[in-house]
Amino acid sequence: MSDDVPLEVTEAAGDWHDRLSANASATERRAFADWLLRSPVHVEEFLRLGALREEIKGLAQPDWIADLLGEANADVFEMPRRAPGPPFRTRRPVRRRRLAAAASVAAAVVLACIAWLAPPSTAVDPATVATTVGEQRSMVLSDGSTITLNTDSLVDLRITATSREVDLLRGEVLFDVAKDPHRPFRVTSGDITVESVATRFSVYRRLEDTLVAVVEGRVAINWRPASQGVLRSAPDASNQQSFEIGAGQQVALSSVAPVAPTPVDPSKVTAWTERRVVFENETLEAVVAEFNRYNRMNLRVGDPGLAKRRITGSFDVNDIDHFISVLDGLEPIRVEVAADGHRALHLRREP
Amino acid sequence: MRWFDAQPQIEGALKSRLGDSPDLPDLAQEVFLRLLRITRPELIRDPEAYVYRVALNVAQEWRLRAAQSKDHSSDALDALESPDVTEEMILRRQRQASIRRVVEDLPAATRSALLLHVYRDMTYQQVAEHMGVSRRSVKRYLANGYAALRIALAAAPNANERGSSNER
Repeated sequence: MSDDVPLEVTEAAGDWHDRLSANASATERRAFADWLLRSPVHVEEFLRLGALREEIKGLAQPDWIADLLGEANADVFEMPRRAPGPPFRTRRPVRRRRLAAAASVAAAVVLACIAWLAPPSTAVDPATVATTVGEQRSMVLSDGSTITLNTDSLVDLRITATSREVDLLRGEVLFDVAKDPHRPFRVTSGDITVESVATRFSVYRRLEDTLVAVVEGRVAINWRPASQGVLRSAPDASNQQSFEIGAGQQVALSSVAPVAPTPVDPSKVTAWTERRVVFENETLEAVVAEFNRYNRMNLRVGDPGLAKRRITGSFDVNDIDHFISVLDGLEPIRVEVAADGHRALHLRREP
Repeated sequence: MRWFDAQPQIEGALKSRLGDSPDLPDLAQEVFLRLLRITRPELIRDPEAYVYRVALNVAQEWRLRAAQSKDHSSDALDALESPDVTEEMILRRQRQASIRRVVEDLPAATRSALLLHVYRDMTYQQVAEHMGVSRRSVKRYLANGYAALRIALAAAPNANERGSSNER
């Protein structure tokens, strides 16, 4: 633990906790980020104070607190003061000493981690897994399957002895399903269910539709198109449709569009796990929208003539500047930063 | 993270577990590195929740990784199979007792500021008005209070540290 955190850092951490509880302005959030990014000690102290506050809050002994605050009755005696305790800055045991004995124990930390967040006697799998914008996470579930969450995604997990259910609430997830014929692996995205026994596929829940792409094996898709409008004639009994797609195929399922699996390059499906995005002859508009999933810079195509420009390439999602410089090689591009933080791309007009 | 906001009770429990961790410096280091990757941090709507979300994700990843490598470590396996609940409870109670002792021994102004802020959910500004002092003083009182608590708790036995080490 931090042995000597300067009081100023503690003070600043407390101050941030207090100020951020109100609705912080963009300037304030920027200042907070700057402060955090100045030192890991700041991050640590910020996390610690929040935790400390929760822990002492958990003490909740209303009488005791009221007593100490002198609130209980007007006529209570003042709390007898204890004999003054030892000064606060007594020397603490030197934790570093333990490091010497630590050689064999990467595992001991492991133990500490388990003891620490695992609620007693529950399954290892978390009920919910989430990522924020720009974040990606991969984890192995108790059944041996691996799920990888792309940016800004949210899933609910229910892995039991008899079933494996994942509810995709938002975003995109790549599934590497461990073989288990007795427990089909079922992914739900709205009205769509994707079921498999052992395979590798991704499900991307988008605003208008859900995109299912298979890298290896086959999946069965159950899907109930909304029976609305003239596009659909009299719905059959359940209106349920089932079909399978295999490796190298993808299908976009929406409530209205007819289903037509199309071929897809499996390496493109998994490119984002390496924090890359791959475009084949896609419009700049679509490319920019894809980039915007990974960060909050919010690029925008300001020039309509540019929007339909076709792009092919593979890019690092973290490196927007590189992306812009590549574009600049194709067409002269000018980047403007709008007041709201958006960056707009324009064709540069030669003077 | 909306999900995070929507579950304050879970948030609280997880947050306080973070503080218990002997690995907090390592965890903070990893969080720090992840924060460095964000290009425009001021666009994050709720930075506090965001920082905790990232921290909890790191913790969860470590825990899962730990659980998966259990075959290689009889220690970890033991921990999984026989969590000593009683011992943990006792240690927890000792911890609470030391918190109480520290709070009672704080100088009166520091103690009031801490209690009003933590248990009456007052902002620093409200505490300042309530006590008739400046917000700046409240900041200092709280920092003193937190520092005292941190020192006492670091010395107090911690359920998660028994027999283990700080080294990753």
